[in-house]
Order: sequence, then structure tokens, then C-alpha cells
Amino acid sequence: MNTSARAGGTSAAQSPGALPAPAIKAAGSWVTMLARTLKTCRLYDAGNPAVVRFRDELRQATHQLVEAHGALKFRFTRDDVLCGEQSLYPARSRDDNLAYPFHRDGVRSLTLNPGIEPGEVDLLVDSLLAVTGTHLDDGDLVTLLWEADLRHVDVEFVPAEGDVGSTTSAAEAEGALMPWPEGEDEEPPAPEAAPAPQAQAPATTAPSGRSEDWLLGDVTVEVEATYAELDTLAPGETERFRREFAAEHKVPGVIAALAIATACLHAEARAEDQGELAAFLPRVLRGALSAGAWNEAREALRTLRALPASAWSNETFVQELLQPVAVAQVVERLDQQEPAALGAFIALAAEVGDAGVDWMTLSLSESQRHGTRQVLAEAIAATCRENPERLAPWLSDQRWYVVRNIVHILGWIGGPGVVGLLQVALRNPEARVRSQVVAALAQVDLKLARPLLVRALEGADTRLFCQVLSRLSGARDPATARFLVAFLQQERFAQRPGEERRAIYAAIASTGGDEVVSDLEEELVRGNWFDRSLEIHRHNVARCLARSGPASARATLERALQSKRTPVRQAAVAALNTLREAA
Amino acid sequence: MSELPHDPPDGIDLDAAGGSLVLRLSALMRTARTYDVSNQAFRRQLTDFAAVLRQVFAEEDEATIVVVETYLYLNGVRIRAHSALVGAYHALIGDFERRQVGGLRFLAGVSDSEIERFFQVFVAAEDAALAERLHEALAEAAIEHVQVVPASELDADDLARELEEQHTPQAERARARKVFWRAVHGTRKVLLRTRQNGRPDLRQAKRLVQPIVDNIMKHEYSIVGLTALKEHDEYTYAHCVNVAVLSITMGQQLGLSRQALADLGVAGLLHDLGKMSVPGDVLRKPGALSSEEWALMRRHPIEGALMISRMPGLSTVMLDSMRACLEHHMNYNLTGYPEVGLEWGQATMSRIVALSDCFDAITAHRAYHKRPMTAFEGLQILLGPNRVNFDPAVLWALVRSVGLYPAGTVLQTSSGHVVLCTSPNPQDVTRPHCRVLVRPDGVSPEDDEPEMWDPMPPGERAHRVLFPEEHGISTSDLLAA
Repeated sequence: MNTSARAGGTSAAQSPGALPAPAIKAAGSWVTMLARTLKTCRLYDAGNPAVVRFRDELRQATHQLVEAHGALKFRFTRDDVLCGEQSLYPARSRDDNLAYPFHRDGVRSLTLNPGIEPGEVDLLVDSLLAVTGTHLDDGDLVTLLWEADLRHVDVEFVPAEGDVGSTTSAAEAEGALMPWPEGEDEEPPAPEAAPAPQAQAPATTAPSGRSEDWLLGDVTVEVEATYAELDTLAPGETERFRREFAAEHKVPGVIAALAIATACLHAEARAEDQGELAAFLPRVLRGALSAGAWNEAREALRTLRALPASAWSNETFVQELLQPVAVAQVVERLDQQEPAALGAFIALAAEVGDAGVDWMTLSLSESQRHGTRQVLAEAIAATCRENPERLAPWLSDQRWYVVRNIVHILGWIGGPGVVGLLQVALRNPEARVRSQVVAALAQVDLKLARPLLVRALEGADTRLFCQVLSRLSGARDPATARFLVAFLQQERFAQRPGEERRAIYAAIASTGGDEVVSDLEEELVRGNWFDRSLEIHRHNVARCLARSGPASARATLERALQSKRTPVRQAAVAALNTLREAA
Repeated sequence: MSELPHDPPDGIDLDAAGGSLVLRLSALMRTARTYDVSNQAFRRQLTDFAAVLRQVFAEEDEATIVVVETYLYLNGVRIRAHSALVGAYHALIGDFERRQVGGLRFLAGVSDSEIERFFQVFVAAEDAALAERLHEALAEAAIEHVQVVPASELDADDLARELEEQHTPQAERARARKVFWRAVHGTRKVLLRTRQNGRPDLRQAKRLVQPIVDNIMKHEYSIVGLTALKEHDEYTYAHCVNVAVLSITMGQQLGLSRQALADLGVAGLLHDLGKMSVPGDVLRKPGALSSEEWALMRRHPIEGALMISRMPGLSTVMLDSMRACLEHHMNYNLTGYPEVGLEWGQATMSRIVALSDCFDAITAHRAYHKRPMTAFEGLQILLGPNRVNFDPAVLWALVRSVGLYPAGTVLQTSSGHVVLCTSPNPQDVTRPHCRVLVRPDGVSPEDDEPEMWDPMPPGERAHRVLFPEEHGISTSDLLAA
């Protein structure tokens, strides 16, 4: 790129007014195409098909334009793009003013030269997008174009120094702006010739004292010899220097920033310096968070907290941390990182303090990667093991999957402390949450879990129903057994899905004892000579009696062997056979 | 091109009058920006300016001051930019450029009130939109005896364009002067804004450095020669530019990329920001500092780093600049100040900035000595026993950048010529570009037709380094011309 201030570029672009009509027309089309591409790029992601197509068309159009018409110079006024003094793109509105960012940043003309490469067109577009977007960094358009180093684009711009006198301050008027030492304090050295090259020069004494703020040392007369020595070493030394330079600049910005801030703190810093750094470190902290540099973020946080009273507010920081946008950014990084890096994140969350749990929970809810979720959930469980109540607020989250995650974690924590929380979760309208509660209850003593499990049966679908009964089957319990037998006695029992019925039989067998034998016997002999529909039920009840195990149940079955009704006898025989086989 | 040079008339010395006019005009412009026309300060400047105009009108019918290339002319006679004038000289060129004018013509008969009205309009025309309507505005204000000479009339753009394309040493020197003085004036603005806002304007700093990088990247080292100019009012700002120029040149010698050179230049430009927080009487003090004063001075690196920390973002250039501020008085061998701890080493960029700063500062004219230390003496110190303070690669790059006989050094050559080194020769550090001051026969070349060695011929070599004062040589005036 040729950049020149005011004086103009070096290209041989046509002089204004000398352009033929076809060139003007083609230039106008190109400008329209540029504006269209910029608008589309602002609206959509880089991968959007429209963006890809428009960028590609602009690249081709640029190449064709300069190949067909030679170098073309576009001038920018406040509200128009001109070529050969012809208006090409007058501002249509405040938002549709292509010339404005050029003019605002001091670019007065742009000349496209033959040979322009597709990459240069892309860089031009990117630079324009950078100065018209919402996120403006340190560069204006002139700087961005300079950094892009476009070889086939000449840029004319106004000098940046602007009105050098307009900001004259009282301080400057008094000459107080970084003045240099004045006056004399030392006698001049002897008026003899200064040391001459090599051996001809006598050594003089270097002026003593200080020069400005530099301490001076002795001189050498061996200037050429010393340089020759340096020159001999130069290949190796410059190579070493470049290696060091490259290594320094490979370090991510936040790490460097934190290191510099730490150095400043150790560099004879005063209390007010610490206050200044307390204003800088939050930026480092945010930068570290957005870069996924968790260790640096933790270090920044620690340093900030160690600083004396400042404008830094932990509460504000936590609020910021929990914002959806911030969480999404963090999760994006987490999902890209290796599991080892997640440890650093967990450590950072611990450093954040109590709110770290909420931060991890939100991150867990947004993460799309199993590995990340697993690590986060384990960390939350470990953090809240002693105080599972800390997770209570999350059980009323609107998002069912967030609640499910928490229930899952509560399950890991287990113990009596989570029962109350699981009871709350059990009221969640989402079946998947309730199902998770049932699963979590496996980690709770069955005695404590039973009431919840029983409650979970209300309105449960088949899957959950079976799951609950499976949990309830964990140990014998007369109350549960009686509760379950009541299912058998319901009129609609026969209408229940087969899985549910099987689950009820199995659960009664596992939980029941003497207390349900009589009820089961009633079920065993229920029906009449002509009702064949209960035969399967009868067999299952008989098996329940057999598997439930008490002597009274066996006696009941043996009595059934004496029944005058064949189906009853057959059911008893089958059940006792099963029992014998099992024995 | 009616204002191009012609033979000076007898009587008034237009060069001297032009110098006074430039000083007064520049001061008037500066005052008019700050104060209202009714203010005493402005009225005083106006009176002084009118007095100089009257001197010119005693002999001439008009006083036309124009800029052509990088020179100012009064009624066709080139005004020489001697060292005391150089700051105002280039500030005025900048003022004309920003208003897109080639110059100003004051006609005999102009009244103070007309001059006053003119400056009201002219100062406001710094805004680009108003500049385009300057002629219209002057007509509306009924200003008849002051005219604006359009830039187009002088073909200044064409001249500048030709200048860009020429590869002669003269054209290179002209380009260098333009870039250098723009940077000096821009730096002044950056520092003033820093004072006002408490943090520097990084965008502005970047823009100032880019042309310097372009210049150096083209292996045009004339700009390095300009760093030897120390005796002028703008030295406070020029020191920052000098450090940037030297750093960029050294960075190029060390093989850094274009972008890295730009970042290095910004770091060099901003390295001394912290001095704004050191009391002026400590900075100005000519003698040795007391322990309290020294403690204040030692704080400027950290103060500078803190000022930069106030800038938004965490860009590479910001961090490099912050580090250069903090570390530019540290040494490669872990000595220097401020003390951070054994683990903390000076960054590569900081090493370059530190050496550039040291070289420029120790040769500064106000450096506590009646006789300013020459650049050659500065080099003798840096290459002396204390060279362990510097990275050898960086020290090598400094000598490659400024040469063994840096700009401003007066030499007697093997053939008996007395020459002033004007800029380094990257091809051969022992044979700089020179201006011949005295030929072996004792004759000095005419000022108007200087004899330049671009560079020193291969047959010549430095025989003896001279103290310029002994020979009545004002190196600053010669370098500034």
C-alpha cells in the first residue's frame, strides 16, 4: 500500500474528469457492490452463503474493474464517493453513508491499481467492517489499511497530527510539560580534540554526574574495535534476540498484561499506584476470562483482592460473570479446552467464592460437551457436598435441564441432606426431572426415600412408575407392600400397561411379608368358575406369594393346592415349582 | 508559481525578516487558537506580528509567505530553518497544509483590525469543511489586504508527488524532514492530550509512527540524521520522536517485521510519558539531584506504565508500550530501576527503547554540560565499560543505525576535508553521508551550494573527530537547514 498524507499517492490513476463514461459506470457498480457486501457482512456471519457469494463477487469485480479501466481513484467527501468528479454513492441516510467512515478517519482517496489480489480486497472489506462495527479498537481506517499493507491500493489521507495548537493547556503555556534541564552546572572539558578514531585519539573523561536521568560511565577510545567485536558476534546475537522477541510475543496478551501489572506492583509501587492497578486489573481479568486463561484470571482476581480499597467490587464482578453473554463466552472456551484446563477453571470458580457455584452451574447448563459437563458437575458436587442447600435456588430454575443437572448432582452428594431438595424437585412438571429425582434417591437411605418414591408414583408415566417401584423394591417394608397391594385391588389394575403390572408384582414380592399374605390370598382365589380373564393375574399373585417368602405365604399356596378350582391349583403349583427351582 | 525563488532585493534581508515573520506568525496562530481576539495575549502577538510586517513593507509592497516542498519562502526568498526557528517553521507548514493553502499574501496597507479578522477566519478554517470555503469566508469578512495563496497555484501537490518518486539524496532528505517534523508536532499533541485526559491517544501515536516505519523500510536513513537536532524549542517532543526513529531503525537492523516496527515506534514515542508526573523543577534542575528528587525521578517509569494502563483494551502495542515505559531504565544485566525482582528481565522491545533513549538523552544539548556531548562521545560511552548494561545485539543495531560517526559529528578526513556527518550510511558504518564544511585548501563551500558526500567517498576515511565549537561550527543550524 502506498499511504501518503495529503500529497497524494504515486499511482497513475486517471485525472479527475478524464474518465470515460464506461469507466465511471463500472466504478459506480463496483462501489454499489462494495456497499452491498459491507451491509451483508454486518448482518450475517462470515460463513453465511450470501456473505461468501458477495465477497467472491466483489473480488472478481475488483479484478475486472482495474483490468478493464486501469487504476481508478475514488475520492471521499463527507457524504459521497466520487470518481472522476462523478457522484457514485451519495449518502442515502445516516446508516447508508459509505463515504463517511473514510472521511471521518481522514482517508480522502483510495486508488485501486491493476494487479490487485483477492486477498487485498478482503482486507479492504475487513478494515471497513472493523471501523464501522460496534467494537472499535485502537486503530482508525488509515491505521488498519496501513497494517493491511495493501500493495495495489494507494491511500491518500490527511495528517493525523491535526491542530497541534488547539489543545494548548495552561501547563504547557507555563512550559511544564516534560521540560528538559536548563542552565549549566559543569565546567566545559578541556578544549582539546575529542577522541578520534582508533589509536589517534587520547581518551577523554566522560562528563561526570548525570545526563538527564541516565547515569554515565567511562568512555572507550576503541569504538571501531568494540564495534568490530560486536559485528563478529552479531549473527548469533541477533538470532538469539529474534528468538527471544518471538517467544515474548507468543505469550497471550492477558498473561503479559498480568505479568506487567504484577511487575508494577513490585516496582516500588505506592498506595496510589495500587489504586491505579486496581483499575487496570479488572480489564486483565475480563480479558483472561474471554481468552479462557483461567489461571491468569485466578491470579488477577487474587491480586485484585489483595489490593487496598479500590473501586473494584466483587459483587459487581459476580453479577457480570453470571450474565448470559458472559457465561456463553466462558462455555465456548471451556468446550474447546482439554480436560486438564478445566481443572484451572474449577480452581478459578473456587477463587470466585460462593458465587462460583452459580457460575459453574450456569456453565454446566450451557455446555454442549459431555466431558465438560461431567467435570463441572463433579466440581459442583464436591463444592456443595457439605452444604447441598446451596443448590436449592437452582431447583426452581425455569429450565428443566438445569434442574435435572442439579438433581443429578444431589444424587452424587446423596445422604439425608438432599432429601428435602429432592422433594422440591419432585414437584417439577417435567417427567425427566422427576425421573432424575428417582434415580438420585438411590443414594438416599430407602427409609427416607420411600415417602418421596411413593409420591413420585403420582401421575408417573410407565417408565417412571416402573423405575420408582424398582427403587421401592430395595428392601422389605410392610407399609410399602400394603400400598402396592392396593394397586392390585384397583379396578383399573387390569387396564395398566403390562410393564406396570409386572413391576407391581415384583415390588410386592420384594417388599411384602405376612402383612400382605391375606390380601394376596384374596387375589389368588378371586373370580368365579367362568371368569378366565384373571388367570394370568392369579399366576402372578401366586408367584408374589412364593417370592415374598414368609411361612404364611407358603401355607397359603399349599392351601391353594387343595382348591376345588383348577386355575387356583395350577397357579399354586406353578408358584411352588418356581420356589423349588430357586431353592 | 509566481512565488518561486528569485534574486533577493537589495535592502531588507528577507531571510532574516522571514525568520521573524515565521516566529511571529506561528505564535499568533497558536495564541489565536487559545484566546479570543480581545484577549491581551492575542493583542500582544498581533502587535508584534504587525511590527515585523511593517519592516517588510518598508522595502516591499507585499509580504508573501508560501510553502514549497518542505521550505518556506518570503517574497521568493527561501527562509532558512535554523535551529531556533525549526519548530515554528514546521508548525507553520503544517498549518498551511491542514487548510489546504499554499501560503498567505499580506499587502501593504493592511490594518491591524483586518489582520485580526483574518486570523479569526483562518484559525477556524482548520476544520476541513470550512477550509474548502476559506476564500468565501474571507470575502464575507471584507478582508482585502490579506490573501490566501491556493496550494494549486504553487503546484505543491505535484512537487510533493515528484518528491515521493525521486530517489536522490536531496529528495530523501526532504521526505525525511517532512515526516520528522510532522511526527514532532503530532507528538506534542499526543503529550498535551495525555496531560488533559490522563492517558495517551494510541490511535494518534500509531499514525505518527507509520510514515517513519515506511521511511526506514525504504532504507532511507536521512531521518536518523535528523535525530541529531537537539537545539530547538520542540526538543521535548523531538526526543520522543528521536527515540521512536532510533528504535525503529534498530528494530529493522534486528530483522523485526513491519508491524513490530510500528509497535516499537509507538513504544519509543510514549516511553517517557511518566515524566509528565515528575515536578518540572526536578526535570529542569541542571545539577545533581538530591535523594528526594532522585526518588521522584525514579518513579517516572512506573508512572508512564500506569498512564498507558488507562488506555482501553489489551492490545499488543499497548502492552509493549506499557512494558517499555516500565523498563526503559532497567538494564540488560538486571541493574537499573525500578527494581522489580531477580526474575524480571527486560523485554526485547524495552532493550531497544532503553538504548535509544540513553543515546539520545546523553547527547541532548541541555544535559548539564556547557559543551553538549557529541553523538560520537555518546557512542564512546555506550561502547565503553558500561556496555554490559545493554543487550549486545541491540548495541550492534544502534551502531548499524547511527553509524560509527553519528549525524552531528564533525570529522577531519584522511584527505584533509572537515565534514559534518549528516546521516548514517547503512552500507558502511565508517562512511556516513556528510556535508563538506572546509576543503583541504581551507576554502568553505558556499552555503547556497553545499557540497554533499552521499556518502563519504570510498577513498576517504575518518581521521580525527573534532569538537565543533572549536571551529565555530553550529552543527544544529547546518543539520536543520
